[in-house]
Amino acid sequence: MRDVKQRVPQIILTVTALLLIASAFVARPGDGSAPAVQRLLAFADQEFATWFSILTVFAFLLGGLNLVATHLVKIRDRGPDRYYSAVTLVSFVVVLAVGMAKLGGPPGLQGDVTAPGSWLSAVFDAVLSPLHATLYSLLAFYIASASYRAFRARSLESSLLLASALVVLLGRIPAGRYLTTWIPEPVAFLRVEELSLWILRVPNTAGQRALMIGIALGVIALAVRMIAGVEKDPRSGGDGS
Amino acid sequence: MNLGYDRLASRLESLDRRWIFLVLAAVVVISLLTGVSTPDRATSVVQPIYDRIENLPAGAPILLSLDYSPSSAPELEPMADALTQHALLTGHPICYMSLYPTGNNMISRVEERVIAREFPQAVPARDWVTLGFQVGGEMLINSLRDSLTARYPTDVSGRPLAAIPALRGVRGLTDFGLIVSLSAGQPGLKEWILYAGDVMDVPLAGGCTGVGAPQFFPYYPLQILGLMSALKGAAEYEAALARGHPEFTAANRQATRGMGPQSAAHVVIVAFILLGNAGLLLRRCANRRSP
Repeated sequence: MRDVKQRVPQIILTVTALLLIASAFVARPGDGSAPAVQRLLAFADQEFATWFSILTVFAFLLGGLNLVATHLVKIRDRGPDRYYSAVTLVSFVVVLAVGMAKLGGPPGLQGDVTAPGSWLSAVFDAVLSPLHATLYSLLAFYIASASYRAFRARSLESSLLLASALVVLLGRIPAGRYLTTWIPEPVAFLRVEELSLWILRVPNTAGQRALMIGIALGVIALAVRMIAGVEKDPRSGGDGS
Repeated sequence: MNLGYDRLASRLESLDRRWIFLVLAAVVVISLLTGVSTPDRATSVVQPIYDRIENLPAGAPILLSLDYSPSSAPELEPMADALTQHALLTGHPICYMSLYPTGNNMISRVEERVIAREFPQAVPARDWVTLGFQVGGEMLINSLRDSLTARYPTDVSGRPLAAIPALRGVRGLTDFGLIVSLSAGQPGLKEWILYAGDVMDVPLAGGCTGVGAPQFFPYYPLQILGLMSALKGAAEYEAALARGHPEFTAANRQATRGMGPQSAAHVVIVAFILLGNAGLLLRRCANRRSP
C-alpha cells in the first residue's frame, strides 16, 4: 500500500511533466490535419492550463480555511495577539458574506461582483484601497532613513554603490536632467539621465542575467530530479531514495 | 578643534531618523500643496510604446492587463490612464483583463476616472471591453494563446465575446496589436514575456513599479518593446502623449503632477545621504589631524 502511495503520484508527476515539456517544443496545430502527436501535445498544454486554474481555485479555498483555523486557535488559546486575530476573522467573514451574497451589484451568477455600486466595491474603495496606500507610502520614509544610514563611502565597493545610488536617484527625476544639460552633445552619455539609464541597462542587466541563469539552472536540476523520482517529494510521503 | 570636528561629524553621521521623517513629510506636503512639477520627456525605453500605438493599423485592439493591487496603484495607475487615453484618442479598442484578484476594481477605477469623465462618447463593447480577473496566472496566459473564449466565454457583464465589436477578428493573443502588462509582481510582466511574448512573437510592452524595474531591463528591447518604470515612466509617456496630441491637456497629466513631490523626496534623500557622508569625511579629517 505504501509503495502504491509513493509510486502513483510519482507516475502522475513524471507523465505530466514530460508531456508539458514536450508540448513547449511543439507548435500548436493550426487545423485538424496536424499529426496526432502534435494535437495530443497541444491538447495537453491547453487542458493542463485549465486544470491548473481549477486547482488554484481550490488553493484559494484551502487558504481561506487555513486562515480561519489558525486565527480561531489563537483566539481559543487567548494569545497576546488574539484581538488582531478577531479583527482578521470578522473582516474575512464580512467581506466573504458581502461578496457571496452579491449585495448591491448586478444580480445573478453572471453579475459582476465588483461592479460600481456593489457593496464589495465599496469595501474595496473605502477600506482596502486606503489601507494598501497607507502601508505602501510608509515605505518611502523607511527607504529615506535606510538610504541615509547605508550609503556611506567607507570602502571602494560602498563608494561605487553610493555613486550609483546618487546617479539613479537624480536620473529618475525630471529635475535631475537639468543639472547636467550643460554637458556638450558629443559627451551627452555623461548626463545624469543617460548615466542612470546606462546603469540600469548595462551593469544591472549583467547582474540580473547572471542571477536569472543561475536560478534557471537550479530549477532545471530540481525538475530533472523530481521527474526522475530521486528528489524527496512531501506529497508522496516517500523519501525518494 | 578636533573635538568640534568630532562632535559635528558624530551629529551628521547619526541623525535621529525622526528628523528625516519630518523633513521628508514637510517637503512632500509643501510640494503637493504648491503643485510644482517639471515637464519631462520620453526616454528611448518609453518612446517605443507610444510609437507602437501611434503606428498600429486603424482599429487594432490593445490588450491591457492591470496586474496590480491598490498598493502599487500610485505608480501604475497613471500608466493605465495614459494608455487608455492614448488608445481612445487614436481609435483603438482596449481590452482590459487582470491576473490579480483585485484587478476588476482597478479596471473599474480606470473606467470611472478616465473613460466616463474624459471620453463620455465612448461606447462599451465598441471602444472598450472588460474581461476582468481570472485565476491561473501564467497558465491563464497559456490558455488564452489560441482562444480567448477558452477562459473568457463572456466579458464581466455577461456579454458573449462573439457579440463584442471591440473584439471582432480577435481569436487569441496574437490578434492584438499590442499587449501591455502593468505589473506589480508575480504574476505579471515576467509571465507575459515567458508565456506570450516569447512563444508567440506578439508585440509586448510593460509597466512596472520602481523596485521591480531592474528585473525587467534584461528583457528590453528584444523581448519587450518598451518599459515604463514607476511614476517617472508614466510621466514620460504623458510627455510623449502631450507632444503628439495637443488635446491631451495638463489637467490629464496625473503622473507629471505626481513627479513634483517625488522629485522633492528624491532631493531630500540625496541631501541626507550627502550629509551622512560629510560626517564621515569630517571624522576622517579629524582622525588624520589628531596625533
